[in-house]
Amino acid sequence: MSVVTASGKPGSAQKPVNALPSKEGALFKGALKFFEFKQYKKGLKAVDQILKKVPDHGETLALKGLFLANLDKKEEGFELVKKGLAKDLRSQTSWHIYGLLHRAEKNYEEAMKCYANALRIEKQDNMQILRDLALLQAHIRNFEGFSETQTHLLTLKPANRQFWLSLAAAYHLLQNYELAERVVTSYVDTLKSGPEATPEFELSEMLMYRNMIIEESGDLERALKDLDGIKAKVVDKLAWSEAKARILFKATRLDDAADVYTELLSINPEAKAYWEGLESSKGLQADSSDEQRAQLVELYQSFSAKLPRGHLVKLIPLTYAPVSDSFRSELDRYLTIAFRKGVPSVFVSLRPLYAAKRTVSEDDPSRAKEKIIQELVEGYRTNLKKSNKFSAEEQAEQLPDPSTALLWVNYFLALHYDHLRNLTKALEHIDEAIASSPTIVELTMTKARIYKHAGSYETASKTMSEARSLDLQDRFINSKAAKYFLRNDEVAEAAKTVGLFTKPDTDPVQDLIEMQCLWFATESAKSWIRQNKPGQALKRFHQIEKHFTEFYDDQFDFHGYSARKTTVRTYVEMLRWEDKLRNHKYFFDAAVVAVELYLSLHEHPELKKALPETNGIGELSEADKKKAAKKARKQELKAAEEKVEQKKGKNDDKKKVIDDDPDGEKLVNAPDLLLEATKFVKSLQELSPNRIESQALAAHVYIRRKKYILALRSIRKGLEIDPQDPSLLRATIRFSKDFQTDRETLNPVARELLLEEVESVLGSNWGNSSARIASFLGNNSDSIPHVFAGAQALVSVDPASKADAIAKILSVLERQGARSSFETVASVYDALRSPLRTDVDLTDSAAAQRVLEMGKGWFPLSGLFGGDN
Amino acid sequence: MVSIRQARVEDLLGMQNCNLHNLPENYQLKYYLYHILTWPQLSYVAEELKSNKIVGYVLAKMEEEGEPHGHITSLSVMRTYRRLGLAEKLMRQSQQAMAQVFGGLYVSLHVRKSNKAALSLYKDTLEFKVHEVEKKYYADGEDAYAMRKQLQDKPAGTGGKKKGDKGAEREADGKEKEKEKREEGIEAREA
Repeated sequence: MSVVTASGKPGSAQKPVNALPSKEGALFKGALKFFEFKQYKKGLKAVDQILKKVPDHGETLALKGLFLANLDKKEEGFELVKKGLAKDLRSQTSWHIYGLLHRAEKNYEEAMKCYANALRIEKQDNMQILRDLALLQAHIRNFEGFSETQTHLLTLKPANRQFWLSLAAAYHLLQNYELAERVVTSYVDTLKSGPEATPEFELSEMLMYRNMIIEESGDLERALKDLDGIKAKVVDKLAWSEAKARILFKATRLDDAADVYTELLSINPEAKAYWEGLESSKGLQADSSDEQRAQLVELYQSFSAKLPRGHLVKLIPLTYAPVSDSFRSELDRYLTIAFRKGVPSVFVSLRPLYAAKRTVSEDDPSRAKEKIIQELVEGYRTNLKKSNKFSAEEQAEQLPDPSTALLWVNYFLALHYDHLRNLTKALEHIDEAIASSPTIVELTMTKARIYKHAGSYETASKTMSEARSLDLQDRFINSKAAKYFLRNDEVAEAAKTVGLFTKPDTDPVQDLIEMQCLWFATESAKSWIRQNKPGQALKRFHQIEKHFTEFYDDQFDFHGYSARKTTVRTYVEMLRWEDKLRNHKYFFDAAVVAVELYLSLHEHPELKKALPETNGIGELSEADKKKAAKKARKQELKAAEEKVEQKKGKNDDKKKVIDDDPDGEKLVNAPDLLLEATKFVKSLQELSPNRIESQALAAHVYIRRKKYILALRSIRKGLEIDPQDPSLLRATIRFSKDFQTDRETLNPVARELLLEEVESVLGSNWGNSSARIASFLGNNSDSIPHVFAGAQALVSVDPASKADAIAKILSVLERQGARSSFETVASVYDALRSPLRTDVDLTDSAAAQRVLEMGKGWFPLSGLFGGDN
Repeated sequence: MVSIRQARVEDLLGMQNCNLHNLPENYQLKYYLYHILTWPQLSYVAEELKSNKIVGYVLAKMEEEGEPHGHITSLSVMRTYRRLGLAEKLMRQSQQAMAQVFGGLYVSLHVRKSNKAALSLYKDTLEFKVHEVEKKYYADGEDAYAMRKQLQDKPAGTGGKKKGDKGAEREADGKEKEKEKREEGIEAREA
């Protein structure tokens, strides 16, 4: 809760009938203070004391309600506040308290009504209530109302800076740039100089804020003039120069812009944005022509002498340079310097030189640079082994410490081949490096990564734990070890591991929740899904959703704060960020998997019941069964041990969080799962509308809810983003089928309208699913996910086509499996073994056996295909 | 390829994620918001350009007690991005802003006595000096070196605090205390 106080001065503005005796009046005042400082228990005592004497005092009853509500007795609190209010409907304090209660419950509209009532009661204006009202208006983005309240406040206290700047922000956000600017100017003009002067920083912030308003108004020339005018008073020189460069560029004064970007680069040559600004100001575009690219390389070369220690000045031109001898020699220089210095991270620096898509063919031009990298580094390795030199040339320098150089060369090659998914070679190199230096964390960590890519999750997690044991002080490697435990579905081990760095005497997972840790929640959820524990998974997804609600609510305290601190530029950026908060990758990724889980629970209600604990799905081999049983016994023992330990520990831990749904049973058995899914879908569609996943998943959910108009709208948007998306194809086919079945039951007017829409989105041939699927398969015959989706669609339209569908799947696997990722092949294999992961039954034991054999060849190390251990 | 730039509000979740991976001292998002909305110029991030992932950050603030000076609340770089000089670059950008924007005279920080890599960065590369040892500074009982580095002799501007904005100060102080508590591990997380 924020630092908002209840209205002060009880008694003074009240009608005498309701006034308390003087002793109780003082107690009441004290109780308000207790509220302000969040001392609710003390406050409760004080009001009880008053009520002993004056049991019917309305405001005291209301205040007691406020304390109770803050002491986890929400309902009782609300009751009391209402009771207090009924006793004295003309009490401003009680209405204010009622408003605070609603605000805490996020009933913002109700809260505003209460404040309005409070303000209506007395002629005399209550600043505190007006301030509270303003905060709410900013929070719900009612900038119209916000500007009115700030104007009102200003008339009451014309010297208050917060009100001026808030009013400016209100106009700014209403895009009334002229008024916004005028408000800032009016306030700045009243500021004194001399000993009473506003601190430099604050004046500087206000002037830069005004400039932001002018820039956003689009009047670029005036913005530039203003910048020159305020230069001497601005202490944030960086922001000033950035604004200057940006506005000059927008005003197409390109030479001047280039000059300022050059200055900025002398301050920070590692800022990519400055280089981009410089490139654009010089009119250069990397994707336009060879000539332009050559000019870009020259541009960077002109800086290289001035920036001997710069990274970007060397790396960016390597991405532009044509594949030539000079490229090779530049790269050679870069690499040998890095290896000589022993920089472990050189591979991540060079990753932009690799092909964007790993799956393109060997001779694709986008692979040219990675080939040269490979040639060079393999060459270093050969020469280092032969003659302690990077190069075979006679006069090349012999290295004083060639074994260290060789170590980093091998490390680089391991990362290189891992990236290209040549995992056997990657392992050879990392093993050679580890043999020479067994205690370097990075090496063992990389080995674990390679095993992960090979689908060998058990070995991967063991290896990552080995890496962890090499540096027990480092939380990064600890986090990695925990992440790998989760990938191998060892959730208890993961929790134990993170527990080495979480708050002592607290449950590790609980501590991570308190610290709003998102990665652990997402990874655990995915693991619980694999373990067929949908309840646990949903708990984690809802936890993530809750964190994002917290992140949204966090802004509340800053609505007034920033204006007092004059950091209004950053405040405006915060509001804009909060408005699109849930388009964040962390939310998006979790929401997508959550909706998929809801859909599979809807299709397969049997998943809601606890299934036997397995490390995957489908039928287990005897060996696997034994392994699983052993694992389960181990986990049981461990859990029992932990319980004993907990009992030994502090029983009276006050902060113990009581979980009324420890296994997520309530979530799994929610009355309408699709409605729950819709909550995530809405966030996805609203804030990530241009992601195909958002539209495809929305379509799936709406079809199943028989909301055909919404489904169709999602399909339309999806087709605009990617008409060849596999999941969208499934949705489209399902739509046609369900709509055809249901159309007669629709009301005729709606049916006609909908039919028109369907034809406009899917064409007059919309009912011909077979043709659509055939064309889709024809377009995407070499992609495993596409053929897989097409095959599922075939079966969904005509179950008799299952044999044909499976033949298509096997065919694409035979052609493409060798260069696919483990996950891709594994998901197809799962579907052939178990009907639970998809809405059509593709199970076929002969086909599964065939994929198992092929999988063994492609992923010899993976546990799924029998390679782990 | 990594870019170093001033932190923006939209980077805060990435910074929090990086912090939770790397360091035992963690903060809720609101504490990051408090930093960036009070001293927008002082925090910097290292961003992997291919994935737009935050792989390093410095979270910094000003202290007004006594001489104005900057303080490093938290600094870390993902292990996979170490030895590229990122921490040094983040620190130098932040230090420059402390002096230029806020007239900071020096910058202070705490470091675990056992953290050799960090100590070498501060001592050898960035020329910090040990100011004092703070016994049991960390929640797990480890001592901290309180280190300082002089930024300039005189403040760039007149500075000075404005009177009469009690509300803001109290709010800020409350948060300071909350943070101190957090670091002392007494009552780590906000109620």
